[in-house]
Amino acid sequence: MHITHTLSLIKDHLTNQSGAMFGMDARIALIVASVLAATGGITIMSRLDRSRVDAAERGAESIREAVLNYYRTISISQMPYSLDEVFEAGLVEDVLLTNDPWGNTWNFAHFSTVIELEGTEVTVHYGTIHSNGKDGLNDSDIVVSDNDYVQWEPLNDDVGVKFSTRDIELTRLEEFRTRAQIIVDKITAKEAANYLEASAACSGPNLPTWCNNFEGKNYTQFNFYPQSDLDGTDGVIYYADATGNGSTYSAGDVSDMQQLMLDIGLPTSYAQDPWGRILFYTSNATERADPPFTASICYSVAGSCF
Amino acid sequence: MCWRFALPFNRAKRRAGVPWQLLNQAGAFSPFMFGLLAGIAVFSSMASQWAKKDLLKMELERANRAKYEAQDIAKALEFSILAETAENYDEDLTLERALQHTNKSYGRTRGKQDVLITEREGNESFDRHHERIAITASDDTLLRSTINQIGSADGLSRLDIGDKEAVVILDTEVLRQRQVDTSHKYMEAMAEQIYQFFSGQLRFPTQTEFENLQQQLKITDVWGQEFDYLRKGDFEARLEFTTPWNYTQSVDLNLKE
Repeated sequence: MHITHTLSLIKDHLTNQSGAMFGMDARIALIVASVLAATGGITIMSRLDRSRVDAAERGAESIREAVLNYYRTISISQMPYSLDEVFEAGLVEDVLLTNDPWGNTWNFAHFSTVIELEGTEVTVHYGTIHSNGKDGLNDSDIVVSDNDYVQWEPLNDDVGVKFSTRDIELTRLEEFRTRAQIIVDKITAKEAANYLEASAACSGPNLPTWCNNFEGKNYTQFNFYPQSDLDGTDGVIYYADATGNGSTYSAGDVSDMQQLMLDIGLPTSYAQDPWGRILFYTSNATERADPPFTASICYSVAGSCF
Repeated sequence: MCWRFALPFNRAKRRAGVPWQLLNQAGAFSPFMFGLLAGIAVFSSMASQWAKKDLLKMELERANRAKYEAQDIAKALEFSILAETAENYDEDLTLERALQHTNKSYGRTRGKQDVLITEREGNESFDRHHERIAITASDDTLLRSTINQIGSADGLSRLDIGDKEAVVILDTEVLRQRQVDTSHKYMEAMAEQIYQFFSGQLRFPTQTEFENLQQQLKITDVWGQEFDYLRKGDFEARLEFTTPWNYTQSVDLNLKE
């Protein structure tokens, strides 16, 4: 009875209330404002989700650039073992990118294939970088072969990108050719300079003994190229042997090839090609005992030469 | 709390021709309702501005992405041509082939359509008709249909698509020319070695001697094939290479004069 009375009082009190918020228009305004606020809230939440996906896309792209930069400038011939190497190298400006926008680590997979790019053997690297997305589960495949790479795309809520070193290899191919041509020109010039030097020495009044007879050959029959240890041809006489000035360069040995580059007036970096392969210089490619001699340079034992 | 107001009748009387019902209106002025209306008006106006900006930004991003993807596919096709050998040479320039070397594209547009690769027969040189290819990653149906309807390579070149649209034209003639030119350069290097041989032996090398020379020098055409050597005598020979599509380019070596 007492409770019924109390409820009745409350009801009367509510019914008879008057004030700013209790007019019909105010109530409608309140409802409309609430609906608008709810809609705005949902939109904001949805935008927040979308912005995380966008951030993941941008993050994956930034990391891809950093990975390619790492390959181009640091590791040269191989992909980093993990993304940590790339982050530690300071190639990703945004330190928050070590994890994806949902706080999980990025997935990083890659493989390589050897191809012939315009007749030059090149190793091309392919891979993927992706985030597990909102659910934190890895739904996408891991690439280990050409076929995987063709088919790959981030599945379900995963977000990621593919990458390849295609453009870097094309740029390096151009650089490789230019560099090889410069080396060939310099070695040819060195050979010509040696010959002129010998001619001058052998046309004066006091002829060195090697001019007319050095192991049965006169100076015009010498090989004037800088000598490489790859030449085991019998009967060939090098100008350096005759004069006693000069050394034999060991093909494929980085310090010897660097010395050769210095001796012909080139930077030591030319001892390696843009992929880091060491120069194989041959001073008598056609294995002749008498002129004309042919020198050649390759950047691998089996590779095509210049 | 409400305020009531009405236009004074004598003022209304002065406005001839206006129905008196309109001039004699009376009702509640609600600050909530007016506040709400004003708020909604401001909010919707701002939302509309944001939406317009967003839409413009999205359209620009989509166009840029489509353009980037089309360029990426073009580069991938170019790379796949330059990576051809005698064994894997392929006349067809398909999306599948491009996907082997793409950096970014999944081969589909944002609207989940396949990237459109339209191939038309182009100029003729090196004993072949070259292809001119239009690549678009745009979802614009009209644009895709327009490209599809173009029947000639010249038509593709004349396609007026504006800067925003994502169409990239790839001409295989340029790439084939590059391959033939590079191979020719290598062949000249080989010819120089044959002349070197001549200067030592006073004759051109025999077939076996030439094969030895090839092995020693490791000079090939861009498809990894050794050069063909045809000895016509001690003072005359021919060196040539044949492309995978059977076009032959040669250099005559003649020291008879």
